[in-house]
Amino acid sequence: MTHTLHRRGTPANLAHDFPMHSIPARGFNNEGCKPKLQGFLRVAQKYNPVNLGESKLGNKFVRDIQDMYDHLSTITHAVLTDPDDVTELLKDMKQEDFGMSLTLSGLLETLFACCKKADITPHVIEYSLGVQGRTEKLPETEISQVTTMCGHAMISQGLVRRMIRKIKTGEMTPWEGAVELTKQCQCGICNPVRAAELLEECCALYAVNVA
Amino acid sequence: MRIDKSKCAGCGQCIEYCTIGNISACRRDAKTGQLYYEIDEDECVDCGVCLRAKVCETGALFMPKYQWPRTIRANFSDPLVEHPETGVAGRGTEEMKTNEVTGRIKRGFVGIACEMGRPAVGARFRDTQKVAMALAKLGVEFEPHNPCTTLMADPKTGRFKEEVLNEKVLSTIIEMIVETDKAPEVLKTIRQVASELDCVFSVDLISHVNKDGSVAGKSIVDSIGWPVAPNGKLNTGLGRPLAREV
Repeated sequence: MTHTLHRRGTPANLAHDFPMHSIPARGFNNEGCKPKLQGFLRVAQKYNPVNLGESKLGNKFVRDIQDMYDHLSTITHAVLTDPDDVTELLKDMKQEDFGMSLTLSGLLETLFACCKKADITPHVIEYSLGVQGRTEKLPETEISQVTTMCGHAMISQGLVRRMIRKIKTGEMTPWEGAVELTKQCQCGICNPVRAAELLEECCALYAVNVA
Repeated sequence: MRIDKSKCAGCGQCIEYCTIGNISACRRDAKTGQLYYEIDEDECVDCGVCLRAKVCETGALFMPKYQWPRTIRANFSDPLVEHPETGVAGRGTEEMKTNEVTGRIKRGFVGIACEMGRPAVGARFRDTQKVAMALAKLGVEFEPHNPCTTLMADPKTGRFKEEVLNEKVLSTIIEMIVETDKAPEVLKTIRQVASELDCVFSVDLISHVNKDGSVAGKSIVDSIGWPVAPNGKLNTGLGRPLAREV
């Protein structure tokens, strides 16, 4: 379930995209994990998260955060945009010592730098070795950069195209389009700020017919 | 997923939610002249996204009560469905996310996964079997707790149960742990078999970070000229209690 690993993008447009999750290990420390997951959510809220979510409960655009906090039971997600915030969150998490595993995704060079500043030595790393097979079946790169922000593929390419049309015809702003897409990603790992930026870029590349 | 032709208003609001692209066709009823949409159920992976979007105002869109083996489509495609084999919602295991606690991948080993169908193309188990069988010939052992492995008739050969071969899912993950020395051969085999498939798949490599910051996995991919994305994932090692061997 590597849902935050394969985000497509350029180093430039991935520079402010840091999805992360706190997760109990089934059969090891999942008993009584709720206050620890709540602790993570509380810490994450201090560092300007652009999204929060829990796999079963939904993300912050479809679920009230207090309600989410009260009902946490499994893998809990946050998305930050600033490396300095990531560093400060790591320092807090180390000090709090909740005992839940914490996984970070993003540009590896930046993540290693954040860990170093927080005096944390990462345990394991997971590399994305790209896509193999019939890659001609994939949507265009610009569309894929948006859709892969939900690793479970709940953000469809058709919906991205619809948002581009609506933005171009003035029916919605890039931010409104990004929020609509972000709602589809149940876990709360889609970065709406990055999505809005990517949608705006797409608008320059795609044509629409206006009656 | 299916659309009740008699209720469909032909508005097409649901079709853009399709996670694997547009797999429905707009048709006109020969008798009534009414427009309606029809889903190609053989291509549909039952992810449930179009239904959850709640855009169908006439209630035409519905998930039929499918029987085995069709039921595995939703199990592998809808992250809200807790997989009966793992108890985890989604298609995989906790893989590296909790490794400091579970000790699943030990030093001297790497984790490798082929995420069949990802991103957003989908894969039939016929193609998944091709990859699994190629890897099984190398003596690779597949992760027994991964739901993909549970559909194999014979995990030693990578052969799947006959009845699931045509089933299409949004993604299913072939997951394995191999000795570091064996990883280049496994990765080369993955690259070779890719040309025989009618789908895409994403490839993952999990490796321990040494105290000096070096990563064995990076040397492996460099040695075979396989490019690595600049973005990836780190387990920070903050989970407790620590596994005996981390």
